[in-house]
Amino acid sequence: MCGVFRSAVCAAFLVGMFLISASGCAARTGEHSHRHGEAAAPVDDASIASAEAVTLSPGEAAARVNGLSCPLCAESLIATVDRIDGVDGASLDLGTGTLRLQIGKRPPEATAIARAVNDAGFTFVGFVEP
Amino acid sequence: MACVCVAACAAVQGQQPTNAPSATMPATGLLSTRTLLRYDRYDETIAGTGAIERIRLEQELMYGVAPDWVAFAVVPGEHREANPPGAPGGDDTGLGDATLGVRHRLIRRDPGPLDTFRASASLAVRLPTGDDAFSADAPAFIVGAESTAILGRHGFNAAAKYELITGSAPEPLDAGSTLADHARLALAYLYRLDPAAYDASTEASVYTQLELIGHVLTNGDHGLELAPGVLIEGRRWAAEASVIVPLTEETGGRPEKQIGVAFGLRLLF
Repeated sequence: MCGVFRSAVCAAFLVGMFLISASGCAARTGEHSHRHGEAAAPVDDASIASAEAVTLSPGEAAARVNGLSCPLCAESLIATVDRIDGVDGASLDLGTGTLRLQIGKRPPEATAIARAVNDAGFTFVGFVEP
Repeated sequence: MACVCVAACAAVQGQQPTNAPSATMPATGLLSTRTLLRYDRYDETIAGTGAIERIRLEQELMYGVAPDWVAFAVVPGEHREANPPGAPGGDDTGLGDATLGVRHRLIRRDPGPLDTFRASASLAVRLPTGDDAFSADAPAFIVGAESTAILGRHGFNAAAKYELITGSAPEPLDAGSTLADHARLALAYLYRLDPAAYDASTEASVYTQLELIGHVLTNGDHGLELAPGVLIEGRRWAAEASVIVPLTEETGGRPEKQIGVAFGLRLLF
């Protein structure tokens, strides 16, 4: 009986690992497509929807972010935002949760910033005056 | 097949205590590494008069494969010395069994700039890739759950995991290396000593940590450990130190742990 139970748990584990790995890879593929503009993920978050009304222009921009937790987490966010085309630089004030962006000559979509913040594991609150 | 996929897709996280897993994880496309050096001293119960000393170097990699998903791998190296020399369980050096796994964030609530509550679930497999002296010669299947709450200067972590064991190491020292299944519950509290408040110039923070770790095995063995420590986090690195003190131990035929010390370094790429 114990052997049957163990075998069942092992089998369920392997199936679970496979499904999770497959969904993880699939999600990654989706993100890749979105970055190249081939497919856009649906707007599923109110804060991202609010960013749709914002048009970024070259110069400085700022956004409020929640859930930053610690310096290491903050750097993780900066590294993510820095990868967005059109963002020339980013810094973060941990005290106020303010993400400061240096926007280049070809500004990114505001929703791209919002999505990147959320996908990095934080909560985008909204754009604020720089 | 699942393991191959995990490896193809390819741990270090913020405010993670030394011995208890946390629900924080690197962002998509970022790699974090953690090198953990552990020293443990055990009673040499067979000779009765000596001790086994073990130095274990754990290398952990964690990669953000997708939003809310990370894959991780842990490869340990080990050196043991018995005192008096030649006693069973001592005088050997080699690699231990590697662990591959994935973690998925299930819950994220961020009520303030710093405050957060997160919960995640993990699946992993420990493969018999180690040298004969340290390998279980059979895989172990691991399921776990982690939660992290950070409220201002206070951080709380609770983690549980269950290891379904199918093989035993030749000279097991730890819970999880015998043939009995192993349940582990870890609780941790972190307090940010410095800075008292973050600002735009904050480059690092210093925490004190206190962990309580419980072990229960299906063969009746159990144990409880207390682990005070310190954690320093910069923007792309973290350093940590912890002392593990057994409070209670029922180890059956295994040597009892007398004390453990751990030093860690994490880097974010």
